[in-house]
Amino acid sequence: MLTVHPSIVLGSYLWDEERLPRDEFDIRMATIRNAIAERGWSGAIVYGDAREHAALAFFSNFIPRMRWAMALFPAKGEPRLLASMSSRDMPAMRTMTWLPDVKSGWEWRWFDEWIETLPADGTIGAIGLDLMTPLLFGSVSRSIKGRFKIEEADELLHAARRVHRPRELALVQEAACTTRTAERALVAAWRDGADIERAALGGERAARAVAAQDVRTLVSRDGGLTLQPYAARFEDRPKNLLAYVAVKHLGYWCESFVAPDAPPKLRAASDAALDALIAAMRPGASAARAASQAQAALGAYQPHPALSGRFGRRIGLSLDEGETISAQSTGVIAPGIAYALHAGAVEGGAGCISSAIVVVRERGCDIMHRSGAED
Amino acid sequence: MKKERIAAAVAWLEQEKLDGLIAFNDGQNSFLDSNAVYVFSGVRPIGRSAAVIGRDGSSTLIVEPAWDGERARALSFNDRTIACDDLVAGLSEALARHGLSERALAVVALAKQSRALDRAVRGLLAQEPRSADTLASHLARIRNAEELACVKKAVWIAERGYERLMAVARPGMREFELAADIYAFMKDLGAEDNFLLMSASQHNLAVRAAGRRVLQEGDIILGEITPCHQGQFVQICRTTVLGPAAPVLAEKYALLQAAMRRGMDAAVPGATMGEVTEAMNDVFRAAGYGDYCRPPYMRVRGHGLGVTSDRPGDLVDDSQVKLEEGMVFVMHPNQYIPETGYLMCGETVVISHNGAISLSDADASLDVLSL
Repeated sequence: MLTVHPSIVLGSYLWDEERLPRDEFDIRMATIRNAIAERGWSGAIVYGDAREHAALAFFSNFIPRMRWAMALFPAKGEPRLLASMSSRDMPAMRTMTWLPDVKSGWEWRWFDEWIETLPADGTIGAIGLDLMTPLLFGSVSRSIKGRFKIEEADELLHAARRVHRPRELALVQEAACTTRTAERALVAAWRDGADIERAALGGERAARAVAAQDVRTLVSRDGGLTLQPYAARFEDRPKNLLAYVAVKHLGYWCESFVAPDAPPKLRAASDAALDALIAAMRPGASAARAASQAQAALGAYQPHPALSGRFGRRIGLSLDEGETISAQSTGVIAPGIAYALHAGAVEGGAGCISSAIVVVRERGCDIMHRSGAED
Repeated sequence: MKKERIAAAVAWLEQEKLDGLIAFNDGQNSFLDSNAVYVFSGVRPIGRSAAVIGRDGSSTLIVEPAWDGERARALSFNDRTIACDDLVAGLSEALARHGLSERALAVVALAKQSRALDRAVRGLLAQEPRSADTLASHLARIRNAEELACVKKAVWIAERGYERLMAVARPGMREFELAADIYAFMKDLGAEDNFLLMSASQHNLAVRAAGRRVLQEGDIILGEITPCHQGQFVQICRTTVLGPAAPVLAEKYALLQAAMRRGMDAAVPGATMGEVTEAMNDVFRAAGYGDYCRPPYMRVRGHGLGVTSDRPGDLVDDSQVKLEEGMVFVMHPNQYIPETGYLMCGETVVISHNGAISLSDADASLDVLSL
């Protein structure tokens, strides 16, 4: 779900070598090393910003708290990370990545210096180039000055991340634990009489208190028909609670919809659709067929408009890693992938959404988190 | 109230002989940059968005995703709001409706969007648009009365947040626990966003986001407390000692306070940001810290506060930006000093006809928490 992006990702975050040891990154980096060797690249650039940084985080563990960052991998020699922060901030930035050389991106000489180390007249592979602003791309282009060609290589990320690695799935599972903490606190605040925004804030506070890196919430002010971001109005306490909470833990997301007191028939329909969806999430199954089975289980209920006709997608380093599950999907469900699934409906002035985080296995889905399990 | 920004944009279009403008935002918020769509619509979008303004004064807001339409329509002061799942398609529809697809246009903050969106937008336009990336920032540089009221409320929230920090900080607590507490406390008071940096050390190199460090007796807690209330960011910078403070801390902190006073005295309408910066730096130079008046020992001596307008920009010695009555920015002579580490002292100020006025009830002092 889209939520208001904060001005800074302020939660606790650094490179945790016990959870993501250096050898994990050696394995991940094989994709880039192989591309450099096979395609004869002089080096590779991996770009990310505060909003979308899956590629950058996958290869470097670095997640920009604000603005952008670039990992620079030469064919030979030490890699460098440029972060768009002041040189004053570099000691703090160095704690967030395994890359040994972290420099301020505000001093462009560090990019130029890296370029100078590369064998001339070659090609530089680039991942995430389309996310760059034209201004930044202009700086890159000027530095390259026709000496290097750029080969856009986003497909490398897709190849490297065809399935989630075991350590990634373990971190999604940990994010699920924090999400449960948030969900419980949110429902408890609601039960204690809080308005919808203060209830959501109760959930956010609980997640941040156990070192969540980021927390996003949406609330329904109208009993579940629509979702809106926090606006500090503190005046809405609709009959039914519907809220959304997403928690990031060590770079990995989990999310849940919270609807503990939705009208029973609506809740039953949403749960039935989610059950049908989970049952359909088999390796090799058509994503469109999974969506149609969930749709069929909703029966005559109108699908919840906040879901935009979608029943799920991949989740991990991004809240939305693509591979959407909808009637229009052309892909197939693959094992070893964490998916965020959701199904919901509206009727009679109320709405409900049920959700789950699952990992598809050959034998069926492992459920990491399911909304409402502890209502 | 904010329709005045549409009127100002129309006046600019007439002056520049342009037929319309398109302002962009990608859903990211920066406390150091204007959100051009917010300035021209009153809406902080959650996804990609654009605001189209014609020289006839008509305007349309386009937001992603479609399900955010109800909120956007309720907040927008534009004539029309299009909520959709494809910004480029929505923008195409809006341009056609305004009759602007083939006209002379300006684009605001398109250069700050992704290359992919830049390409797609240019594909919609018959003529090369004129870049006017700082227009929103310029037109919104003076806070109106409604915005100034929100600024004052935000400063009130920041000060309450700092009181909370002093009430709950204790040895044994982790930085992130303290940050979570005061962040949620300020959000409960109305801060929808917060650029909160808060960290501690016995010798800080800079302030940073809270980590897992356990607070200890003798730690110096740095707080860059930056709540946003109704689209208005403010900032106060504070330094707090857990337990008794060494005399040298008080002695050096007094330098920051003196620099703050010199900056306040210098910040009068017509003065340049560079002159204000130099007035502050003079205090450090006189004390023998001239070599430390540069990164990485400090960043800037203050700066504008984004979402609405980041003007007057950074307080740096080469800024020629002139202060105007009604400008709001933070002034903070934060400084690394070898004997003490990094220290922080700063207030949000508004420029009046008499000079700078701190909006804080209690300006920064070196606070010591008894254990």
